[in-house]
Amino acid sequence: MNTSKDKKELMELKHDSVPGYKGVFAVVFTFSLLYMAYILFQPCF
Amino acid sequence: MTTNILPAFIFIIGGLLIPFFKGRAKTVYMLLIPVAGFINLLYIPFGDHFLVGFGEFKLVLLHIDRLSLLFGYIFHIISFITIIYILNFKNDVEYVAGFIYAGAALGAIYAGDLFSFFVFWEMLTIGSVMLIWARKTKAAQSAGFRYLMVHAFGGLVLFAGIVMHFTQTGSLEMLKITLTDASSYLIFFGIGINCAWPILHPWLTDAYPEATIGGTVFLSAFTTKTAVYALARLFPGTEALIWIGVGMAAFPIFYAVIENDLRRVLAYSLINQVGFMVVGIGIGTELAINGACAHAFNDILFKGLLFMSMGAVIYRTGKIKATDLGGLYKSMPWTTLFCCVGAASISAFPLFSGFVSKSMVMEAAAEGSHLVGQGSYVIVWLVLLFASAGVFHHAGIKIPFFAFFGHDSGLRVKEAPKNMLIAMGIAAFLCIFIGVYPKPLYSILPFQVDYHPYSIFHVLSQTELLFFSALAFTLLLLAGIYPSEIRALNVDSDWIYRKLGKTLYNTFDKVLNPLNTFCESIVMAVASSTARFFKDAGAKISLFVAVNFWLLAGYRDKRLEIKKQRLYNDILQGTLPAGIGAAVAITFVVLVYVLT
Amino acid sequence: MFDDPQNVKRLLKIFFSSVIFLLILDIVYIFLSNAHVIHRHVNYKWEEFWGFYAFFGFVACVILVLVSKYVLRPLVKRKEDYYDN
Repeated sequence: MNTSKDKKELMELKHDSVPGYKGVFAVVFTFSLLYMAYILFQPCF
Repeated sequence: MTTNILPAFIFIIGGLLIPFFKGRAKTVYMLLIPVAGFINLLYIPFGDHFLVGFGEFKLVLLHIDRLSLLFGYIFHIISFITIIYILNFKNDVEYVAGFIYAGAALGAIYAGDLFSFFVFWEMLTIGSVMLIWARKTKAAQSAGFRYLMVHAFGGLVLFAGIVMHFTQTGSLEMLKITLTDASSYLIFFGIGINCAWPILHPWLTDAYPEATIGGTVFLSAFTTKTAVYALARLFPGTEALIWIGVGMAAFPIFYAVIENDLRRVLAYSLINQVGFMVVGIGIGTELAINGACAHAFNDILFKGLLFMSMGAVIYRTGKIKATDLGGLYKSMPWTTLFCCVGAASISAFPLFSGFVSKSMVMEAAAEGSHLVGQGSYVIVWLVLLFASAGVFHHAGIKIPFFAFFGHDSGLRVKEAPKNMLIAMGIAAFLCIFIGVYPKPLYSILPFQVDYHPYSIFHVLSQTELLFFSALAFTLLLLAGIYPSEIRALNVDSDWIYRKLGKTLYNTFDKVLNPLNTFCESIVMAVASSTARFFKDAGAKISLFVAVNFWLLAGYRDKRLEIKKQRLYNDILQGTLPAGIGAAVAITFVVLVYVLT
Repeated sequence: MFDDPQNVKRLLKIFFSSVIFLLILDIVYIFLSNAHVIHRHVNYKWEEFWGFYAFFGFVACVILVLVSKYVLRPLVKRKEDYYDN
């Protein structure tokens, strides 16, 4: 059933960052957060 | 008068007969049970059937209306699909337990009175715990035991509530109950335990991932949905349910993000989905109840589908942890496809089943918030929107990504067996069919509906929501912020009885045990000396009488000693001739009578 | 299929383009509904803002992940055999 018994089981699966994306994320998140805050401060009705 | 058969009995009796069939006949027979049940269901007219008088109780074993019928249909459909799925396991225990479990669920939803409802409710626990124990691992054994304890307690609470309710009202009818007195709260919480309300929920996330491959699919369909049905029947429009449901929809998704066992991730998302239903029942408008029921219907299908795809992964690889999996799309392309259909459905993508039902609850919450005094429903709406985005994030992306794509684990296995693929295919087809053409589903909802999910705005906004949730996942992953998958255990509220309970037990053990031993020694001393006295009391008393008699008769010294010894032994060993024994007994009684 | 980094890059490109396309589509939608070509039914004023659902979804998911990672995990994470002894 199991084809790779010899393979050691991972204790942790890390997700390495791809260069350049930290900045993209920071920009998109900051903008979204501010924009959402602005919208939700408006009256809803 | 009716010639129909009780749906529950078709499943339970039918299930018990399974071991008598062999080979192909068994396969055909098992598939016929849900089909026969479904056909039987189609011919039962609305109203009450199988009325049983039981003393002053009036039991109604079969109550058919639109609400119970809807749940009955989906229970038959998912039983049929799951049976196909587990055909290759050849495990009679699992088959029989599955049918008893499904039959109990059918019995509970068709019960027209609280007493028969309770009886089937308890059977539900028995069937489900068998499915957990059938896994035969140590973890499954202890998880099953905890599951049993929690549900036994829940059953007691419910039963106490029903008894109090009956003594107060003299009625066992399954009618709407308002939360006023103790009995209503007991029933409410009894159902709430099966419904996996926050803090009462860990039995679900504890036990479901430990059950057998097919067992989890069964489990995901019946217990919580029966509870949802019971809430819709007994507590529609109860405001507390809105906030309970909001909690259910919100908190599990946080756990799901950091959970490593993929079936446990699904168990958390199961609570999240049930949360939507509970909110709908709490709002209680026609649209909301319809939404709750429609979502229960769809959830049984897509959650079953997701559990089936993960089950296929376990079946082929023997692994289910995200840290061990990845890259399986190469070896299991069909399973991958079906899993993605399930993921899209649970995330409510347009053209998939979740889209046409989840939004009904959201819409009902939004509409409710415009009424005077219900302004707080805005928060409900916002949290549900948050949960909708979150469910895509953890169930829609995480499950397929870590199992089938992502980091390649190097596992190269065979595609899932044919019967599993067929079962997943049927479920996937239904998910898409309902999503594309929701009319048949809408036509069986409890109330007449005039709801159109496919407005341009709804499609556009939902697509935006989901694509940007996916964007968040992508960017977080690429930026290296996404939490790593770690083999670890995340404590939940079951800590209370798994750790705190144990610690308390140990403390009491240390403090109270010396005291206990001391008391025990006293009791033992008193008891044993008493026992020693009474062991030969009869002999001693007879001796006392006899010796006086012999002294009068002139026996002395050695001969007297021999006589005493013989009498004593004879009495203790019961070798005394019966007449003398009787005489001594009478003497004894007389002596006691005289002395007292 | 995804072993080739080129394919992954291509997929990402398609995905990012569709995300931007959705935002543009939203502008078109707002324009058309303001011109009363399409009838729009909303429950809240919020929903009328450009990209409300898009940015809500994004922010919601990021907060979800950050809270799970930095608040929940430190609180609840234990060794796998925590309950065993």
